[in-house]
Amino acid sequence: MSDDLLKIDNLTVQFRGDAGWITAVDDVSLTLREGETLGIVGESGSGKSVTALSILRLHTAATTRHPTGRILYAGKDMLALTARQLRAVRGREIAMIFQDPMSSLNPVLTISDQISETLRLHQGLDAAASRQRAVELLELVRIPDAKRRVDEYPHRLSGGMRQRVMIAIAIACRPRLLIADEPTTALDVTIQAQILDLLRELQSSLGMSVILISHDMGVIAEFARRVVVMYAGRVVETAPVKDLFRQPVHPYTEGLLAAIPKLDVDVTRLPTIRGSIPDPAQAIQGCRYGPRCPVVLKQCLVEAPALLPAGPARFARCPPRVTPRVAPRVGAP
Amino acid sequence: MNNLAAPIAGVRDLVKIFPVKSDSGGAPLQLHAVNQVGFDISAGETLGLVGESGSGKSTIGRLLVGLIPPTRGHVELFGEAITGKDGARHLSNVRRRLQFVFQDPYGSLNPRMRVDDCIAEPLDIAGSVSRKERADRIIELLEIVGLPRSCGDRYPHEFSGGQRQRIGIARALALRPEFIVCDEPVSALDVSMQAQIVNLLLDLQEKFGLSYLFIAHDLAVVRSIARRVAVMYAGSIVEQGPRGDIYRAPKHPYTQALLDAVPRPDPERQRKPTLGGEIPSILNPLPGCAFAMRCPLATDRCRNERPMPREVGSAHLVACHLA
Repeated sequence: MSDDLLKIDNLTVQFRGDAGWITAVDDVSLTLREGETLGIVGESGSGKSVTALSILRLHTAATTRHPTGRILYAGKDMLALTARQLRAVRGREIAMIFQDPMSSLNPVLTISDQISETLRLHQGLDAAASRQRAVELLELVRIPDAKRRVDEYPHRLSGGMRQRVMIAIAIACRPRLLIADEPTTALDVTIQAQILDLLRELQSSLGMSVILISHDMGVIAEFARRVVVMYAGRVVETAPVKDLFRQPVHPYTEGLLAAIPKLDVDVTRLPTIRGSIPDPAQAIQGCRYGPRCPVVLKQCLVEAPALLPAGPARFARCPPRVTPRVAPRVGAP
Repeated sequence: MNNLAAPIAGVRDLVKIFPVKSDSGGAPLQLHAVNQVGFDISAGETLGLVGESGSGKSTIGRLLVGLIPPTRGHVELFGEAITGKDGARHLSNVRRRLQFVFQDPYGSLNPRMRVDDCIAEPLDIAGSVSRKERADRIIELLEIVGLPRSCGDRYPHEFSGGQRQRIGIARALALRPEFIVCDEPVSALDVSMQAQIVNLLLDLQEKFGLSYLFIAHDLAVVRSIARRVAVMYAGSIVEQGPRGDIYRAPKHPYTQALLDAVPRPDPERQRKPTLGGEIPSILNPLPGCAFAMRCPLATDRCRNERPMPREVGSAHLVACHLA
């Protein structure tokens, strides 16, 4: 479709391991429309961050390969761009913010220097103009006393303020797409709420599309309009946010939602998902979730189910079943 | 679970100040990590200690088991004062009855030790177990925490985060403690693993009548394990009481704001307006209520006079002039 800003088709990402190539992302397809907010949710090793980093080709080229797949951004084939073409997209059209602002900011440069870098590179502003613009950007992300703060070093700022600086850098060139990879995970909950509010505000005032990556179902529910659930390198389910939370289709989504500790009710025991997240270096035949699935079928352990339509605007990688679904087992380790 | 009434742990007017070098090279600053805190934990009970970063919750855990000495105040364990004149002697009397479970199972297990040796190390240090007893106890402990026997001759790095936390718990149980301080024991784990470990801790409590101080930043995790909850802010307990009171009818404006700020897995929910500002510096704190700067209801009295905990319901204490 022509109004897809981003379209990922059958992407596979592999990293060089001690004993051959390890598949971190396996046959992932997703689309993002202009102005949309897409949430990608999953636990460790689900491949959510790896997928996002592949969009901007931020993996080390020598140890990464993409044996299958295509990433189309605004008609550009991202995996085929030259280094020069890639630089024109990174930071200008697609910007990214990460979990840990301290490791993304340079500790020996002032805030002004770091924001100016992007402005000079992409917009050709001179020193005075870029400093002026840096102050405006800090005001836009609600950093109090921006005129003074712009000359400080990152270590003088709190975690929340640093993430605001990262956001200021990300929006400096008014990108069309912002990829936020666990942007609030390192922050306290009251600060997280402030940052989510800020992102939402900026998204509507700047008209950006946003991909929000998170392990936190609460953050996803609050922020995303459409959700992709990933497990062990694969997309297991995709759905509009309300449908996903009202009625998850994939047993993994169902199990995960049930296992979240409840803030608004007392429970005696939380339902659990048995077993552990699989080691990506270990090959699993059939469905990756099969060994943990409470409603696994014989066929699931032989052949991985395809991502099939599962309702209006929904897809799930789980075979349609005749038997009614049972609740995830309670208490089993 | 005998002796239900007698507290296993009791803390009164606890203060911990860390001296910190000043940026400008002047006199050292005083970091008030814990500021006049008091609570009790009864036998077989879990107290949940919840707060954001820098609230002092982990410092309290370390003070409570004698890992660091307090600046002022009293700590009593199993009826013996571990602070004051005979504190050190009393602490060594009760030390075997206490254990600690840490957030990071990676960091708390020796990577070069086999799992069976990790688990049995407390027995080895305590001494006087035969080889047979040691081997039997290892098998028993693995079973208690839900790990297969075959795990014993492997190394910690071969396990997932959740399984490593099981190993950490097995090790903590080796000397049959009565009281365990759990400092963010599930924070590093994925949701599907968190629920397993929370349930394991609940099962162990039932089976062995353990008492826990459960320290965490995640309010929902705390609700799922603790019957009584204390909320910390900038070194003070601002509210403590039964779980139902704290979550259903919080009285302190900070507890209310904190609960409002947590995103729920419910796309229909509209979050209330966000609390502004940030956690204040605990270096040389101002007089008055630490929350006053961010509190929507703060008055002059709040800014000048520190509120002390007051009972507002049965065993429900709130440190707020307005509650």
